[in-house]
Amino acid sequence: MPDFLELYTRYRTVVDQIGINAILALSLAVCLRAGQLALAQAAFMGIGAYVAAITVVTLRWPLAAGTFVAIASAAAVGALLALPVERLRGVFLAIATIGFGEIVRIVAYNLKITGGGDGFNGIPPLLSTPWIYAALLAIGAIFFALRGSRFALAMQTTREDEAASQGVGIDTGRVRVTTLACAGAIAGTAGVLYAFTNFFLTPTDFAFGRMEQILVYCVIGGVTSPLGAVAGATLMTILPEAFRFLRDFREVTNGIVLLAVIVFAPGGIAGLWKR
Amino acid sequence: MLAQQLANGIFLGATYALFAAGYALIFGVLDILNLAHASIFMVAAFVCLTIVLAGFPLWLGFLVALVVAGLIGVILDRVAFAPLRRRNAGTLVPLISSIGFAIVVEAVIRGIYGVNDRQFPEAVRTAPPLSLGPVTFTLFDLAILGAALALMLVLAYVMRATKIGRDIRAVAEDRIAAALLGVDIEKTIALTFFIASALGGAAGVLVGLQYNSVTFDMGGRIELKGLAVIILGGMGSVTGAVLGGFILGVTETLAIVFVGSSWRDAVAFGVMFLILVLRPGGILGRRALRTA
Amino acid sequence: MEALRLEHVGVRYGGVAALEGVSLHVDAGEILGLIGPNGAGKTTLVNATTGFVPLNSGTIVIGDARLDGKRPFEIARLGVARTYQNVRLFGALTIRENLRAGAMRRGDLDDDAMRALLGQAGLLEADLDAAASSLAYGDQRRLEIARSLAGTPQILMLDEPAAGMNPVETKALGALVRAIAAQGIGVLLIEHDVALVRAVSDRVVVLNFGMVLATGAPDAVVRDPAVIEAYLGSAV
Repeated sequence: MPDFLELYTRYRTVVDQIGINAILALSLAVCLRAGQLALAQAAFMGIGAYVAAITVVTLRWPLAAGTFVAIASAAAVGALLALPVERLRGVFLAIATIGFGEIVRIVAYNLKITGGGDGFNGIPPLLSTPWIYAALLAIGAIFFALRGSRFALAMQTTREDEAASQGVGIDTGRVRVTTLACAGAIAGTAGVLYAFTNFFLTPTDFAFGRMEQILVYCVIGGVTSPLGAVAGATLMTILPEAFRFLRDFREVTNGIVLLAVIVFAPGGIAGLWKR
Repeated sequence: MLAQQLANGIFLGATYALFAAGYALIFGVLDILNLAHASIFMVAAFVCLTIVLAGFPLWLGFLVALVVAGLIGVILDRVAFAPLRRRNAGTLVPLISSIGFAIVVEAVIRGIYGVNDRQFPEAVRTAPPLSLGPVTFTLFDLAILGAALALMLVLAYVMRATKIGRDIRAVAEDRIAAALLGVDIEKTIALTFFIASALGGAAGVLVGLQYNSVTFDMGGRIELKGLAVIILGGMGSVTGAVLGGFILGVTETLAIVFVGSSWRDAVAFGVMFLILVLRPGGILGRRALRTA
Repeated sequence: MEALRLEHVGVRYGGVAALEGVSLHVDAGEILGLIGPNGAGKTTLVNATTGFVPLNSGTIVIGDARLDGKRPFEIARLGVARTYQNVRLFGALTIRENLRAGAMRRGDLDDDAMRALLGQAGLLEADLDAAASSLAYGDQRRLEIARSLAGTPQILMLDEPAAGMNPVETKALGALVRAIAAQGIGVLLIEHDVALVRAVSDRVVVLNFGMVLATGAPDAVVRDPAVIEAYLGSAV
């Protein structure tokens, strides 16, 4: 199919972005499912990307080893972050985790091994579109396998009522740590994929602007629905591309779609599906 | 050197305080984080710039920018928050709808003015340097500080001594009780947005003048700093936010001396993180707006 | 057989003593009624036992295990289940999910076990896949009891289960509480409806100002002059 190939070559970066953004949206969806408005996904992604780049490019580790350590690091940082913010909920948790994300960005900006503000250059394109979608599918499959599990249920009861969850014997502290570790691992995976498909990394790639986009994907998708999050990431990544003719105005469509969904379709894409 | 940095910190802190006062006012009244505040901050700088470039005096540009910022705040409330108030949407969704509004505003400004840095005409900013002991600054720096302080005094007066201020405090305290007492809730919220956004807009004009740089993404730099400031001051406390603004300004300029300029932002967010973890009520304690 | 024992339990909120030197025990299969005027410390006693508020003094044991100092989920896992004065179901989740959450400490439940629990609680007709919040208020209270039974507790603490129920429902509730005790579960029943407490309790403890005022057989306790004095003005 030459047409398909031509389309792919032309839109390859968008196709890759959609996959990576969908993975990022799933990372946030995990947190929202457990009622944790933790907004450090962009930082987790950055940790995954930088650790992968440093281990594989600077230290010349094999790709698989670097990827494993990168994802594990992001997961560990997620779990560790859950401890100090243990008493924070809602908007306070959001702000603390935003602050944490900014600190990660500033650290990346100041370290030598990350390339600082100039960025980490010369990352070979070791991964490509099929890897991105294989990862997305694998993460989706894990979501599917775990839906209805006791752990998934514990996350939902924690979102509904933390005290009552404790009252039936659920260790909500552990649920929170595990949730953030999972979010770290998923966003870390997105970071690895991003690093090996984009040639270079700068701290701004993982700044608050990225975090806002991830939030937008989830809300457009219907907040806690994994499929909705993927749909939201797809829609909001394609829109600015589709409206390229609007030039510098093109982001307007994203803002308007976002406002329209919030005001007129509170359940997001997932809500429309159910209706 | 240290005295000079302290003075710089106060000049910087004044704009943080002004920006965060509006941020905190909206959080105090509505319990929502308004992430569009920084985009209004930016629009006001462009409004003032445009008026000045058209040959009008700076003071006129400043006043018009304040009014335009206030009006955009009212529109923001109507578009992004009012529909959600009617269905009790919690904290996450209003946060996102404010992001949506900010995306639209930034894209429009970016579409009109492009992505390049814009500057005020040099004539607007020239002022003789002054010395006060070891500290040097310009009359222009002083004017910015003066304008910021004056606006904060006006805010304090409005909040304490006028009917609008009493209504706003009543709505912050208990919306239902305020309605029963005959306060027009929607009108009061609209006024809150007008005042808060005008303050944010004023901060935008002053920052644009301070750095002589106006860009479509200038709000991004202060947006998260503003969060740090209102955390420092105890969320929802306007007095705390003003105090927090000055504290952060001075801390940052001192951080430049002691840890270097590339780490100065880490200080702000490190302090914010620690305060949330150790003392979530901020330096003055939470709910201070309701008594101030 | 003794299941739960509180000894010299004290709880303070700020400077105020909410419970002071409270000692009591609940045997397996026994219903202990806990009554007392408003603010006497009944709910505080449940909250202290289940780890929701910390003790200032005293000990609480279930079997050989100390409960004081443990966190709520650890206490729940040791076999202490409870309901709440204001129903605290997982409202957005289904009845099925609520029951599965209740069973979390010991494993999972199949549909038959869920049906049996609902039947026992008087919710035979309920749709397992309906949202818990869609139930009528009285049914929500019954589901909350079914949820706490799903974990096969040794001790069940019911905080005003009859609140908002009509006399017919209250009577059915009394039968349910008796049936629960008959399974060998020790029940601590807080209730404003003194008639219900008299009808179902094996023993009654009266709290007043955070202290045990009287304890004994239901009929003897409600005739105790000190108890009548404490309740002055309210119907005994």
